[in-house]
Amino acid sequence: MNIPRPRKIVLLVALVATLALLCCGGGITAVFLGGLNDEGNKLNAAVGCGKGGPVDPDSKLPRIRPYGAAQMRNAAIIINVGADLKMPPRAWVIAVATAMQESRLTNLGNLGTRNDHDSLGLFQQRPSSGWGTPKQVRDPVYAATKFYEKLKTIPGWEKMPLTQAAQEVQISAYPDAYAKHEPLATQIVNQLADGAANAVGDSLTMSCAAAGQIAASGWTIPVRAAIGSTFRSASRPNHQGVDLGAGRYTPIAAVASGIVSKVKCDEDFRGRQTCNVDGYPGKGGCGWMVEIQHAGDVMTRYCHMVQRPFVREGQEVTAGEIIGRVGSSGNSSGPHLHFEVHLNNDRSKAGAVDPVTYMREQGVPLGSEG
Amino acid sequence: MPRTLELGLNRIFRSRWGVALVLGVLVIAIVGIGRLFADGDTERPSLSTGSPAPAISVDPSDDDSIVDTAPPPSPSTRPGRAQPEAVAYAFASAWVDHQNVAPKTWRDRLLPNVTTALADKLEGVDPAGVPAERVIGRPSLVPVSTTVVNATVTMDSGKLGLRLISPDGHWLVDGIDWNPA
Repeated sequence: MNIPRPRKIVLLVALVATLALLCCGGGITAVFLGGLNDEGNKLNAAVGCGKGGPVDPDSKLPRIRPYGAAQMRNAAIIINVGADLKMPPRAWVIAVATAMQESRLTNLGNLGTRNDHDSLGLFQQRPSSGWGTPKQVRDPVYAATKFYEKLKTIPGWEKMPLTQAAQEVQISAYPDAYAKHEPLATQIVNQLADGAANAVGDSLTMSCAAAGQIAASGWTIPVRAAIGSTFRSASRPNHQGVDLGAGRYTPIAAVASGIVSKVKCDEDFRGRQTCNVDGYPGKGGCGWMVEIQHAGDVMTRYCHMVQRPFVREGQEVTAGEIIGRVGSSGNSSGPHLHFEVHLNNDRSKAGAVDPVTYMREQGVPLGSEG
Repeated sequence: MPRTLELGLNRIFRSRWGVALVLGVLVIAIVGIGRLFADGDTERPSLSTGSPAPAISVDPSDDDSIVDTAPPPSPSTRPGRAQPEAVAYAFASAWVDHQNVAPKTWRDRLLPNVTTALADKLEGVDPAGVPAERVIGRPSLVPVSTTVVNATVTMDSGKLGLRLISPDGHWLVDGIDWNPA
């Protein structure tokens, strides 16, 4: 009768030890993994923000489809001219995107009957409008110099949407045509100038864009906040965005220029539209929400705002413009911004990509709290 | 003291209910410890910033994205106003008509169908730079929302992309894109 007792105590101790290990071992693992992730982000952000300067146009250049060697060389010339003129890296992206629209980065001569009036060269500048002689505007260095010189005279060009800044210089009959070239122009500037599109756009310091600053790519982060729940994590495979834990009423910024395509109070699982009150997990829905369409068929979505967003459908917004405030409406357990990035203009979850990766590629890593 | 402890333990573990009670207390204790650990963990980032802890959902199947993923509803037009297709066609026809026309006249012909924002951007545009001669096809529409529609008009030398908006049921062109053929 005395014999079973010690066994039971042993069993008890073993049970406690096992359960304690299960409980706290997981916690230690999570802390460990979290630490690893943070370090990874910092490493990536630190790589190349233009400190290395632009490459020599006459060196062997990488190719970026659909552009060939001659076109990449022209892009490198445009970037080098910008650097020589002490124009900040945002100007390089604008100039490359403009030449992509006007000439596909080809130094165009006269196209005969297909020529628009007397437009020539990389930027399709017109001698009759005072841009220079036909020979001059067909010189890539001259043409790029003229472009930058005019860009510099436009007040606030650094903060404008790319297509607006380009249009102010070009005064074309298609003012919005430059926008679609922004993603590829960003990639070209990164490739040819040591990641310069990741640098602060309106500064010559060539330092990586910190939280709240707008990178030369034209992107910025929506809120300064730590990352809570990540994209399609093991514990939440259906989580189509990233949760950024910011306090109630924290202003939310548009991450890039674009057109507001949706503003609504998303219905919950029961079809109700009740967004002016805090929601709860399992309620369903995005709460007060905004969707913005950006260049290159990219869409960003912002959920769970505390009140009706400040923008309306069809409105043009610029990077950093405040569109609403953080709240907890819809399927939410507490104030946070649920942020999604979609590609190919696909609003469904099939179009969603990891916002952490995507934003890092634009030079504006999420989760920066400074 | 050890004697009474022994006796007590003896009594507890001799009955099934006693064992169940001990297990229950254990579960509660472990959950409590777990909670404490979780709190410490989530508070870690907020200590540095003073911002509240990130909201973390407890339901693994939880998707806090939009409920509504229905395709965009058809564009709505106020009675008596032109449909977006007609506005796009009228605009494209006026836009392409650029030979032997003064800049002001060309822009004035566009004004009835454009937003004030676009009208400003067209200030000073020389129609000589319009890269097309004639409209080839009818506009094809892609609705983005009830108030935003993208229209594509095929021309002899490329495609004209138009963004139309109608904040109040009155469709106007707000953006012009050009893709050379």
